[in-house]
Amino acid sequence: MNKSLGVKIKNITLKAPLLTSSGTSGSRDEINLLQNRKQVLESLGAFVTKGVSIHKSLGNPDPRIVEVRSGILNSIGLQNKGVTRFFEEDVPELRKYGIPIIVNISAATISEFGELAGIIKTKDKYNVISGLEINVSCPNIKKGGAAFGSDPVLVEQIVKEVKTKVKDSLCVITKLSPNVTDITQIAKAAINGGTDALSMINTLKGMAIDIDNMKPVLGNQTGGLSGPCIKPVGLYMVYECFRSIPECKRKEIPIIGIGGISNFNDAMEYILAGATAIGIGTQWFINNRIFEEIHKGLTKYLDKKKETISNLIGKAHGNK
Amino acid sequence: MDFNELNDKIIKSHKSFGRKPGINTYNTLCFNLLNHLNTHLGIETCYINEKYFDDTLLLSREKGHSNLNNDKEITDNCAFILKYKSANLIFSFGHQNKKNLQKLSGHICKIDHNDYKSIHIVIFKDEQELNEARKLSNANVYKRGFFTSFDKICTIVRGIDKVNYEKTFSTGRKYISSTNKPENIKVLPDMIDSHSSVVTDNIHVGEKGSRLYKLTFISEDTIDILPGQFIMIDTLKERQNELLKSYRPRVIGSISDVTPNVHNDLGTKQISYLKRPFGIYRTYYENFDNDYLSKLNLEKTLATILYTVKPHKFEILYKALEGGVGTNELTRIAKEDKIEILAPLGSVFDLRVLLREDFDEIHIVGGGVGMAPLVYLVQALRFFNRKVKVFIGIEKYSSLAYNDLNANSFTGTGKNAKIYIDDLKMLGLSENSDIYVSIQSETDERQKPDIKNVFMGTMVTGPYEEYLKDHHKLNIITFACGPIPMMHKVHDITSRYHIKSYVLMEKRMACGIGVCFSCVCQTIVNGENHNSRVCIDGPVIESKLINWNE
Repeated sequence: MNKSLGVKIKNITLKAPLLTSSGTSGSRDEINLLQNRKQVLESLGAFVTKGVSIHKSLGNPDPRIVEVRSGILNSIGLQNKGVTRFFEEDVPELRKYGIPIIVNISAATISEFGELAGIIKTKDKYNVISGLEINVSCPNIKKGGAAFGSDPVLVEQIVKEVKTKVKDSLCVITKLSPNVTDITQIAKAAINGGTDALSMINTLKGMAIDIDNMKPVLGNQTGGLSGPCIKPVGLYMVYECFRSIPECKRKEIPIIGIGGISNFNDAMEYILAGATAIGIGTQWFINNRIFEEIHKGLTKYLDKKKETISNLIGKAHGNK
Repeated sequence: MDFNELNDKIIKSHKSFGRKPGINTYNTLCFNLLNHLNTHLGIETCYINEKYFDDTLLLSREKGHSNLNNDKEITDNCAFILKYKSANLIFSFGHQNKKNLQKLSGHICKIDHNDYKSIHIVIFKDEQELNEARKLSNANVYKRGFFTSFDKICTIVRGIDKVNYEKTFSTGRKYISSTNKPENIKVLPDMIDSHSSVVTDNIHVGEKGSRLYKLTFISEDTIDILPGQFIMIDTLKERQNELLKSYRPRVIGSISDVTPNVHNDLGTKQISYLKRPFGIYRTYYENFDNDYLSKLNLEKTLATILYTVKPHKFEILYKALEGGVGTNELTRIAKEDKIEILAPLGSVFDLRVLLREDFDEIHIVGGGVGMAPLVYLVQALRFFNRKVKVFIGIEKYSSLAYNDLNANSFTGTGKNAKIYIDDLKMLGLSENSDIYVSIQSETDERQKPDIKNVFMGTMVTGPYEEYLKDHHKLNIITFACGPIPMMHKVHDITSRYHIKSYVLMEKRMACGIGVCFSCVCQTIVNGENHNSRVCIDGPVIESKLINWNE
């Protein structure tokens, strides 16, 4: 193992700064279908599950996806089988991955967030789960979701509620929405609420219209934009939070950079902007070797520069 | 017990050992197989080379087993020869010297002249060796060989455990990582991976102006794609460029990444980002002729445990959708271009398990380009020697025509070659009694087609319903693929006659491996609503599970 790649997100030790992004890597053992499953798991620092809610959710109507220039719009709508079946069916499989597991949680009310976090803490008898990622930013659900993510007061309350339930037993990460006027305000609110780390960004709100039938393409009318086209946005938001929030700059609150990362170059940009680790989502749909490729790319880069990831976090700041 | 240990034991004490039939050892199994074929199927058996096997085990020797003089060419190969109908089945054992096996298989091919009357079956000690043998590199060792294993022989000799049958059928891939693997499926499917392939042809099919194409490619590795499974193709030619590949962006984010002058209006035109899903039209196997299934006549029970070298050459039939990005990119791919595919995708729909029930007829109902993946299903069914009736719905008769008569992958026999029909004939179906064509247009501009069962001015479901009226008492199973309303209709018709039916679903997809939840279709399982992922819960789904009122 290459030590220069290791980083920490609070109490979670990552052997490499690479994570799956919530909603793009399944929630069970889908990776095991791949010929290169071993390499994927060796390259990953942690696995972030698809969003889990208290009750089963069927998700949004079909069609749920449309390709756009250099990216995709999706409106899956948090389809999941509910936390009970998640623990019965999926957690035993996730345990076999042998890497830290972070569960992405979503809920419609503040108290429901607390309840869900409590359930997860109680049900996790074998300490399979290392952290929770609070989803206050899904643009595709009517209740909660992005409505929470754009209100700093609500975000602070949600984080506080979750943090009260899990205390320090689980690392709490707050996933932020880019669909806000000033992301640093929301980030600060999450920090005030007691979040251990931040992840950004979720998808950007967008849509597509079919000019033949003159209707929106997606069953849900609107969706979330992801893919290479959003990379500059995500990169900027990581940079901005790192620059203007002292806790981020001091690396007390690590940032997980997500948004359009498609190769090692993109990943390195995010780290230099201030991310401690990076998440890969959409690119994973089109390249089953992306984690290995980025892992290899980072290793080579660090060897060449005789550096470690930890030293390079936020390196793009400060040397004017 | 370890195979070598067992082997030793058999050689040392084969006589006393051999007098205990029923002991689960490979030689008794083999003799049981012979006895089974002999007593139940009336197949005459004999064997050559006494080295490892005790002929006293042949319980029903007087009923037809006999000793065969050692053939100089086939000594030391531990081969049994079965004579059945007009064919010979020659069994040999995978643990033998590879050179000897190669010699034997070459010899069999020479005497057979592609008649498929002498069929070479190699028995391997376990599933791992069987899988190993199916690699392309072995195509010339076991030339035109069929493979099986002792475990598989067990399943037909001992009969099928009913409970296991229910449990294992259509379980998808879920058992891969689970600890309680169903026992019947021992050969695990190939894992999903990216494969680099070289295109050998990409030809236009159908009348002038039709948007149908047939793409043929050879993969660098063999890929065991089962009928009903699918592949995803990276359709943008420029992304396959070696130079770009070494840099590995895989994403073309800006125009400057693409070689200029390819798309004239590239500045504003959308290029594909995701891979596109396609069903398989046909697969080809090294050393097997294109039309071998029209000659092969395997005994049904035996066929379900036989395997060949895995395929390495594939064909897809696709429609370039108007305004579609990916499919139109694919039409620009030319001979010798490279494409990257992700395969095999889709749940493991194990026909072998399904076919342990003996159906009188298997019905295939295809609407338009939906017929394409069903041709591959027919290919598999023909390998298992099943009676197949095909119902095809097309728009016009000319939809069947090939335009490019010089294309390499052209499988017809002259200038009147027809897509689907010629392939089905090559698979051993009769134009007169097995293929029913419905033509939507009332007045086709061309002369009446030279196919016997043609119905003008009707959708495929009309003639199919008529056919079922007369034949629904048979034991039938139906597979359908086409537009949703057509599959819905097929479901209605078959359920009226209590016929089990399956459909091949198609949806917009992003990942193909079950992680993105884009390609869902509404299903009802045990009264509960689900959004099933077509990519890993399907694409083959039993029609009664689908919520057709969606």
